[in-house]
Amino acid sequence: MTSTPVSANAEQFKNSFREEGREILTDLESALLELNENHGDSDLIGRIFRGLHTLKGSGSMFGFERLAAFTHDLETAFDMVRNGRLEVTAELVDQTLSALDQISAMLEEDTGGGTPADEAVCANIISNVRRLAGIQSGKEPAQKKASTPTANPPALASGKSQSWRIYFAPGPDLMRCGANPALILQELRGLGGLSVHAEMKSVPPLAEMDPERCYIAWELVLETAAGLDAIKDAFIFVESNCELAIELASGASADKAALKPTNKVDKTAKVLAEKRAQPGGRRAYDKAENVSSLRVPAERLDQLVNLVGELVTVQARLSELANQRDDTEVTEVAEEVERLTGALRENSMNIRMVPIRGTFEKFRRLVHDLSRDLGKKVELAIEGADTELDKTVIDQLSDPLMHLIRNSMDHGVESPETRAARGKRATAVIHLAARYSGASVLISVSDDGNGIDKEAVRAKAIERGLATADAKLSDSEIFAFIFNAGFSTAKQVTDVSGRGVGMDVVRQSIEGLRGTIEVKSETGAGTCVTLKLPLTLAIIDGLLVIVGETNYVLPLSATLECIELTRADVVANNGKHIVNVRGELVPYVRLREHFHVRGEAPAIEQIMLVETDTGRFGLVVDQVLGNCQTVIKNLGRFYRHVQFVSGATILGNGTVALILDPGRLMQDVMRYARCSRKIRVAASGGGSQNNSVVSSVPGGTNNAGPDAGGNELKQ
Amino acid sequence: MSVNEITETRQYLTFKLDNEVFALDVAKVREVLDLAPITVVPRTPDFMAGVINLRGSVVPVVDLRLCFEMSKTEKTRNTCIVVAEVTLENESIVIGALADSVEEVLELEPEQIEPAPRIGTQIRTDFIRGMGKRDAQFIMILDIDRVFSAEELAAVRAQESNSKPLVEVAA
Repeated sequence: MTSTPVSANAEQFKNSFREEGREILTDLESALLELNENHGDSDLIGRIFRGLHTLKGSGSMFGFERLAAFTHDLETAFDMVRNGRLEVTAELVDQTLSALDQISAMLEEDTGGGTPADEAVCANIISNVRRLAGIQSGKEPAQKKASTPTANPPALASGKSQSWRIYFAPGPDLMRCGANPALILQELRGLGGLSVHAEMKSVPPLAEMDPERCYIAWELVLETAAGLDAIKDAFIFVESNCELAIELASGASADKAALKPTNKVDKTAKVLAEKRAQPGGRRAYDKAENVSSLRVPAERLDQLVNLVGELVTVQARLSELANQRDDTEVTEVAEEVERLTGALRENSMNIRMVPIRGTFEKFRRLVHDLSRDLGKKVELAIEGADTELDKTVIDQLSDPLMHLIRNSMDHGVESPETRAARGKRATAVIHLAARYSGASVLISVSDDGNGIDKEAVRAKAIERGLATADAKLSDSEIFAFIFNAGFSTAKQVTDVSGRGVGMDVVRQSIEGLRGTIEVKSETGAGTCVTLKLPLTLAIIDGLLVIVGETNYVLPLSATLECIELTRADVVANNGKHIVNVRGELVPYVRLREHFHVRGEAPAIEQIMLVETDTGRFGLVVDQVLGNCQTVIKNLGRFYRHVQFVSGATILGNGTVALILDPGRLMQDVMRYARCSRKIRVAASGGGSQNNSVVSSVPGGTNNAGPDAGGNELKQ
Repeated sequence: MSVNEITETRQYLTFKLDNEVFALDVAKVREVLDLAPITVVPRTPDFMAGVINLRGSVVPVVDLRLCFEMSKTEKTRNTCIVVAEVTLENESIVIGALADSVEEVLELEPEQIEPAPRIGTQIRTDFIRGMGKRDAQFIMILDIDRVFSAEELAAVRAQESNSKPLVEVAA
């Protein structure tokens, strides 16, 4: 640590500030949006003020001077709000929100990501905020600060000056975190007369001294008219990393109420006083909150998950060997290892699980801004924000959800006038919900708007040659068209949507996450899009099947049931690849044929019935070996064009099994069948019973239309 | 990299495909494995032999003989998988190559290496960095990056035309 160059350290601090800053910004944003709905909420105002204060303070500490200077006026404004000297208005919230965007830009400036903050916009926001807060722009920041009551120097104060006794003992890591006790003392001096007594008794001999550690504690007496809050604000960055006790030295005071030990710091102080009395007592910075959460780089977690994945593979091999060996002692150890590995895997997966709240809350802002831009009144209702998903899944959900919400706001929700005419509430509600469903998570975006105009979609699909004019299409088939690239029924392209890109992005991202999309819509009543996503991407619950000599894994989430297929069945069906499942005719694909496997199929094969977003179908395999939980490995660049294989996994015996993606496999089969039909010049057009299944390919290639039905799946 | 850029003494791993001797810069070679069970990925061109488990990672294996228009590799006791690190479009990937047998690690001076002849070799000349001389024998030093980027292209092209059915299915 000590050998690290200073610049590297500074960069590290900057990065940790960036991370902290991003979190504060997110929190500020949601607090502001809530405040917009409830102007008088003092908790929210306090939260916003603290956030701004931290941004400003830590910002200047870590060399983000521009950011700190910019935040200063906002902080002043919210300080006035806090003290009841300024009303919260929609304009103030709006200005602050746009200020947050600029702050975010300033935060990311050095990283080269994002667009740099716009000077003109910043200046504009500042002058607006100053106007709203009634701050004169000529004043120096220090003077402005002085004009706020919390920072009143005693001479100017209308209130009585009191003396406070403060005990401040920095924790050992305080200086490593970039805090400077001298600055804190400086800040206290700004509040009034300060007498400082440094306690040096714990300073070790020079040889043992760690130069990055703070050994000094201070006893301070502060004469000020400012309240307890103002004093505590000075310690805001170090609060969690020091021993701090603030008490009123002079007897009777008007501020006594503030001294009630309801506050955390005060409590700490009390506890401290007791603890300090007993030698070897725990110090304040040891309190539980500090150890309850850790910030860990995502790569380290990925590494951990990879290692656990490999461990699972090795453990499977161990179990297999132990089974062959018939040695109870070995079996015992193998079982123990199996149990531990299972627990370890579950634990390491859980580490990666984060609640979806952050992603959801982010959209409040989007809805707020869009309703203003579109002149519509929309409210965002969030449900199940605590639902946890794999971090990778969450990271990739943001974009598709954004597109869905934009789509709802632009196309779904009607203007307030139209809504009034239809007898609906003027304010529309977009509902964002998440809930568990087995090993999947369902995330739905629903609105109470106009619904999808089925006829318009249908007409557009016909116009684009995706469907024939006489095709009978079910609702879900019609809705599936909207996910095609470039498909839009909007007559006009707006800033918000209409280019037909959004829904295509949604489909691609969700497919990339091995998820599915379901659309429900009722004309006049609204639309609901449900995304079904796996809880995690790293491990898959699958069924191990065998075709020829190769093992394949089918995702359990896609498989419905398993049916026997005998030779007699094939003969009885006249060679058609269709099976009757309780009255429903389901087409099937013989993987042996599709994969060109040589050799004779077993007398009894198994049909695995799978559900994909293009419908149900069967996959014929030689044998089903059983359940398996496997770690997904990437097949790598060399096989990236083999789309129906979503990955590979290593089995207990050390061989590689391929994980099939039933949806893509079906597309592959159909593409292949279409081409082969072109060769069969005189192919008959009959056999329409499987039309419904084949026709529902809209998710697939663009020219897959219902007319491609017929006897595709026959041999 | 052409033969002109070979200016220092380097070590090469030599191996046989059919009766031809080929060589790879050892800097490119990660390890040599005994033949392990290869999982075939269906509906891919023949030269893409499949994937193997290399200590927990899934590594693609290529049948080099098919890349060089020889017959398919017959699996024998001497058959090996040469695991090489290949750079494709600035991305480093690990690929295994089937070899009929691996011979030795050979040190060659730059003057022992001659440019590849324009004609007279069985494989595409742009795949050959140079011809090394060992006694009276010529050794083809492969430009493995180039071989694989060409093969990768071929694989993608094959995938595009893969939709074209085979005659037996159309019948």
